[in-house]
Amino acid sequence: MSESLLEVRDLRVYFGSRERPVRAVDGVSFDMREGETVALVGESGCGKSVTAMALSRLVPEPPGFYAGGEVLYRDQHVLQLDERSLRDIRGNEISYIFQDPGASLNPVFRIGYQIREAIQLHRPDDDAEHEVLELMQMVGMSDPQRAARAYPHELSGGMQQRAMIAMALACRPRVLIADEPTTALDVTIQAQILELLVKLQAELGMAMLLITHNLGLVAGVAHHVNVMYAGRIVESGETVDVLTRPRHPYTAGLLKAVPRLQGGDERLVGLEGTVPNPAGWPEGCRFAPRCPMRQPRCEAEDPPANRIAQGRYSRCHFWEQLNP
Amino acid sequence: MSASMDNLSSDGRTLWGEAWRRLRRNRLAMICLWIVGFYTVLALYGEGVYRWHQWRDITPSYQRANLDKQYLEPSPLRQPFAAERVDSQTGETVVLSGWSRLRSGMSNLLTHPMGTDGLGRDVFQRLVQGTRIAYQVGIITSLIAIPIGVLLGCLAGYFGGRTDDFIVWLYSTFAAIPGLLFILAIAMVVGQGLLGVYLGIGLTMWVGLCRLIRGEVIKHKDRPYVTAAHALGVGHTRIIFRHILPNVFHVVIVTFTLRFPAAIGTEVFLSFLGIGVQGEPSWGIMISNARLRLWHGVWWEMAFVTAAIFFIVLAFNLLGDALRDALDPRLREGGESS
Amino acid sequence: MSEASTQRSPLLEVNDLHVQFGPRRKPVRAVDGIDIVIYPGESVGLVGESGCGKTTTGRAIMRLLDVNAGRIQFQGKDIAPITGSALKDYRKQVQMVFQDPYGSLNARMPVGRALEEVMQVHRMGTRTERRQRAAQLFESVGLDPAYMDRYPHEFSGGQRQRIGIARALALQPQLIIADEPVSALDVSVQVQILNLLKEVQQQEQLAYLFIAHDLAVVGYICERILVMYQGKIVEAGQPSDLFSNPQHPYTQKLLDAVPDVDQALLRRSGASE
Repeated sequence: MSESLLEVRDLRVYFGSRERPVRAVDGVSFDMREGETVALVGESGCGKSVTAMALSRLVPEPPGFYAGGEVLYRDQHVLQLDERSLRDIRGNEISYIFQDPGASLNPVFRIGYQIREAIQLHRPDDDAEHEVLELMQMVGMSDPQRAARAYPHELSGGMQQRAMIAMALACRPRVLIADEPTTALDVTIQAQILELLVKLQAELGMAMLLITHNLGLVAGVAHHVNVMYAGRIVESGETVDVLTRPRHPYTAGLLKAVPRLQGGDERLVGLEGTVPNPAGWPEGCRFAPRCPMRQPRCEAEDPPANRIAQGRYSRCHFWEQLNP
Repeated sequence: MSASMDNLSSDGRTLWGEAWRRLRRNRLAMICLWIVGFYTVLALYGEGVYRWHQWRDITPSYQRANLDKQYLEPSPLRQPFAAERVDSQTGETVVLSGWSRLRSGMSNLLTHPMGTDGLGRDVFQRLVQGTRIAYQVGIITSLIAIPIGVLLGCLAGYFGGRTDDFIVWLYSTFAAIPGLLFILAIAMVVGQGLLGVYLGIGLTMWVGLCRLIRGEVIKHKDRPYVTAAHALGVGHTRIIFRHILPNVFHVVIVTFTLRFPAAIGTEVFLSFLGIGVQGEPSWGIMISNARLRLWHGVWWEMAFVTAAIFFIVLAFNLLGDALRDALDPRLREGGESS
Repeated sequence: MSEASTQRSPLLEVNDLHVQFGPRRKPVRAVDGIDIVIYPGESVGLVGESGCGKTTTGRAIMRLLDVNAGRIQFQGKDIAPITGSALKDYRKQVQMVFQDPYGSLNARMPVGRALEEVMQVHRMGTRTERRQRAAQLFESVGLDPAYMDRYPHEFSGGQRQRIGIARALALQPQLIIADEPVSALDVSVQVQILNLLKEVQQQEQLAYLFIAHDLAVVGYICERILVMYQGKIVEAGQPSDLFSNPQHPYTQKLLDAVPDVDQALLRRSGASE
């Protein structure tokens, strides 16, 4: 097992006032190794995007603040770095791809210019012109010369996302963070973009953090999966193991809630209730109000991250009763 | 792996080119643009005349009193093509016919086409000088106001917090001072004249622009493309001025076209009151002078100046509205259609 | 099921529908000659990617936009020429549920009022009767009637979609056109809404035209699926047939693109062995 490239330890990112904070990310720990794809799965409001932004201290402060924990990137304490060192890491070592490529590209500049800027930010004296076209070819833009002259709104969603990927990969980062990279795209385009990401990740040997709400995507590409709920990772483990033998009722419930192609006429049983509001997590186990196997103990006592095996954790008191 | 490019509609046109194309389709805007262009040429011509006289060190024609020619009506009303003419040297009446009559008529038409004022000065020449001064005021006050407004607006909108509080306090304070008092105060410090007008208008005009830019920047700073720029490691200065500012720059252009006539109006008003331009024929001074003679039936000076102000203000305002539509990023073509 | 339905007369029949946008010389053929038949109580899915014309089809059936050619019949009557009170009556029978319930609810109106208003427009009952019916509707979509005086922003996405459904049900329609009703919702809430739609369908004997891009979702709720591509219907069939034996290459492409947990895990276990 290789060394950790990125290590997150008990990360806490809160919003609002220090007296009554909104605890968006409340004690998240995981790590990523070189060449590994790690998924962060959860529904809206669970804190997965904030976690992603915190990895290179991108959460705007204020209203956000780092209430605890640390992010270690190759033995550097990212959250303690000054603005200049952070800028050297962002885009250069840790890169991002966002959900809405149309809005993430600057509408007033041509694609080629934006990709060139991404290169020259960290390597000012490069032969950027040549490299722009090379990058565009690498991400599968078939007519790079023409696309380089286009403005973002002149490209389709898929093409825009390819351009975003080209920008993210401009400096050959070691960590790629893809925050819902395919959610805004059409189904068939989604598949293409995902395939491209997996291919590039293998070619460039990056670690990839895939943030998504879609368990199907996770099942397809991730090595390791972290399931997030209410600001915390509730279950973590090797992907196939987690998805076939979930040891947390939330993961189990999510899996049961997804309509399957081969589902037949079987009625799906979803989870009751809705995702809680980050402004006030429930006491005790945060999943308890929606949990089908809740016990009195759950509402009183916050479950710790129970270790099941090497790299396999569940934040449920009764994990042993699930898929034993 | 390669995906089709059929959605690409780029034909190498820039966004400004696209806005220009939209503006050109608006006929009213094009008429206004021609009017503005015409005034600009007049102002440049006036500048040339002014410079030439200054270089030759002589009193310009539009300042020289000629009491023989007091209150001449505009030339078309002076029967320029009359068959009889009094020879200025001999005092005899000469009868003209054919070509010479036409030639004399044309030259009559061109001397004092808008008549003369109470000191026998050519109204047209003075009007041209007025245009020159109006343009000077519009441009110089914009050069003072736009950089201040843009810079402070960007800083306030982007950084928020204390920076924002301070800048909002600053422009609220400026906005709270009655404009006239402010300009009077400046005139007291720097003395009456154009400098006072420039500073007075320029230092009050940035407030509106600053407020608009601040609002736009606040809207843009949370857009995903700004977050994406942060994630690439772009610094604050570059994000403000290279990423956000180009996206809100249309506000500057529209504000400029709408503020330009407002500045001209303020100058006219100040000069009319006597605290503005001194010793030069600005529109305000012309109106102020013409007012006294209006009762004697001398309507033309007042009429031409008013018309000049009316058309330039109208043209700039309509152009500003058209520009706002043409530059509106929401109307940009090629957006998604379902 | 389809055998039984052939006995009955269709509720909605769309023949050779064409809808075009843009200049007449170079029109965009958003809907390019499609046929749809929906029987009472049946749910039909319309699947395709964005821009394929599925939303346009729904809006054309609602008479929210003009049709260039073709015929839309509702209960045997052509709806193209109807106006005024007949159109109002038609819209009472056919209701719509939108993707973004927040956008389609008035932010400044309490949600209970929004339900009452629909009934008021169609002159149903007295004020107290409408109030009672609104409360009843609230309960039937799984919301506490105590929340009727709250405003849309006080509800979560799933609750808002429940309100959207309650509003569509208020007039007791025959057909509901649901345009991507769950695609903006969280996974765990999605299935709640899908189950709710199934329940009210059984209670009210509703027919659905269910427009979506997600084949698995459509397969869960619909008895028949129409696959739409570039303004045309390229394949139609029952979910199980369509999923196991797609005929058209586009259907195959759509199926391959669905990120299905089972298939992905199957593929991985196959690769590791």
